Amino acid sequence: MEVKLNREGAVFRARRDGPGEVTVLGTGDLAHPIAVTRLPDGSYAVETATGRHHAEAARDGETVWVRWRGRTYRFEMDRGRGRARDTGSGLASPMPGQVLKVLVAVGETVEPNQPLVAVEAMKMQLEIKAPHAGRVRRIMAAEGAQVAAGAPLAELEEAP
Amino acid sequence: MFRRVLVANRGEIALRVMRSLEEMGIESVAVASEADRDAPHALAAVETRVIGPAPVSESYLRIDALIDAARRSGCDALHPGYGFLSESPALAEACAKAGIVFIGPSPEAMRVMGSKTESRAAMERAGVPVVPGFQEAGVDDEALARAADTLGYPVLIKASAGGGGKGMRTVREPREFASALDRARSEARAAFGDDRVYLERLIARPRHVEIQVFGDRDGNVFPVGERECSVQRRHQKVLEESPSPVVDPDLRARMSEAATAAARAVGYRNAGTVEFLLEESGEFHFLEMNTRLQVEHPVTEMVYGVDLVAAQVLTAAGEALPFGPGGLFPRGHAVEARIYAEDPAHGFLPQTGRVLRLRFPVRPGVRVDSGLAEGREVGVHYDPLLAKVIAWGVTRDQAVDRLYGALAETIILGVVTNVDFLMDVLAHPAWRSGRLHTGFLAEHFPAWRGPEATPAEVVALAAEASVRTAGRSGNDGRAVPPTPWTALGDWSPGGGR
Repeated sequence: MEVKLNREGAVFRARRDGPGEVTVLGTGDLAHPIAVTRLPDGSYAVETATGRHHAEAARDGETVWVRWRGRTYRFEMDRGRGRARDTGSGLASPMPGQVLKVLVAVGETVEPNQPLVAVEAMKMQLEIKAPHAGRVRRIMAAEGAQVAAGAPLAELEEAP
Repeated sequence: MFRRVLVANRGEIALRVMRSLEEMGIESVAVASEADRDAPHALAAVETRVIGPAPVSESYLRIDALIDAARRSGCDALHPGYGFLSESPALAEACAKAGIVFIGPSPEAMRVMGSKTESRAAMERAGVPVVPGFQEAGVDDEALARAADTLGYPVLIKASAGGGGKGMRTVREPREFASALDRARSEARAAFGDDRVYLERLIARPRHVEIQVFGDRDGNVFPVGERECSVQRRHQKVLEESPSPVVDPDLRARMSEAATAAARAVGYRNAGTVEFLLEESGEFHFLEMNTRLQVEHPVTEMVYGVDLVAAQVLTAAGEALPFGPGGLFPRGHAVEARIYAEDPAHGFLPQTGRVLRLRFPVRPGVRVDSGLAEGREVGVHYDPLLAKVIAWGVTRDQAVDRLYGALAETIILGVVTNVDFLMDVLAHPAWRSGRLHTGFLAEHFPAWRGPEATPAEVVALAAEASVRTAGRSGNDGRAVPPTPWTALGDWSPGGGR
């Protein structure tokens, strides 16, 4: 069974031949099975050329986290179902937080860099600014609402 | 001595305070918001009072709720920790009115030091060097512009009622002054309802060095060494150490003298910290005094072998300290790393998530102060500080090596943290050589990224872990929408532990 994983814009593919036996694909002649053992405490041991080494990995929803040799890696699972949402001119919250203020109205014409929505989280305030001139098509943010990172806040129509 | 103390805080500092109380044979009562019912600090006390919903303004910042919790649980004292209401004279006064001892300084000392303008004036009277500046009530914009010329550019315009960088403007040239003043005033008016400003000379590449001071029950004020906290992002510290790599005995004596003079000027009792900007020339200037325990107090505790929280409690109870000005001997070096839920690759923005895996380092010379537990959500309501890892060594190099190793051993999966970033900072030659200033991160790490390469082992681990959804059996009440993927379940026959 094949697994596709995205990290920082790159796609990685691996084939799971059996429990704990994984071949990383796309590495040409170097492709060989890597033995990964799940330990009783939920962490992992990985077989490398230099021996078995300890590692941590865990999945939450569509995100897979790995800690290996003092570095942390985060992957998004790729189901190949065209999951990528085309947000068009949608503007998303850069962080989870609370919508502090909606600074524009639907139909309003805005200048580039004009603040549209203010979001606050953990002592920080951020303004989501217009990336280009245009007209506000839709506002999804409600003042006082909690939003997740990546939640769409508003949509802009490009100026003709 | 007190019988029961209300710990009016959450997270790592609440637990840290409770540990000292326990060692002293004092019972701890915790307070928790509804979101924190099962938080580690709420489960560690002999009694826990739920004081309101998750938002801090409805729970941890409510003086009436805290006093009520202290009364109902029969507490005779209250420890505020840091942050929240720790520097609120109103809380200290409310405690006094309710017959509860506030473990901290007097409301009057807090009030003076809490005001930028009043503390500055008090320091000038006490002969403590302040940043050269101009502060006079009721002068017009032209007089301010003339004062800026006299001070010399670049100058800083700061809001009198200010804090957190709001209403603050750097002006590099005289012709920019008028418009910068306008913007500073309007920002200050919007943020504080008060558009008064004052001027300060801009100090180039300063270090942030602070002196820990302590005022005992008899009114003796003495210093407990310095901490250097120059490595900051968004005006917040991330790495702190004691001693400072550049403070020699002579400079330490002079800074300590100034710090104790500052504390004496307000009749200070209990633990406090006097912050200074230190110039390359060795000149130093009073920045502010924090009238509470600092986040970074553990580095002082490790180097001096003292328990500052226990000392706070003893002093508030009117008891003598086990150490005094003549009984403090520094040994070695300690460095603290603050682990935050934040993304160093994207402007240090706060991050949220569920802690899937959590493991802290166990090694010689390392202390961990944490308020985290596996399976808990890191949410938007509270400060993103997750834990502090502190390492001690005979030399600075040993302390730094130990801290690096300790961070490499630290596992927090499920939330983006600054752990890997801090490791890279600790390994940087400029950090190693101690060439620090408050713009250190902006200069050396303007665009940090995580690991570029993705080793095959990592992909194999991710592929293997991807077949297991982390247990959702917790009581977080969040349903997981079924997907064809989760329906597949665990691929390994007989596995799925």
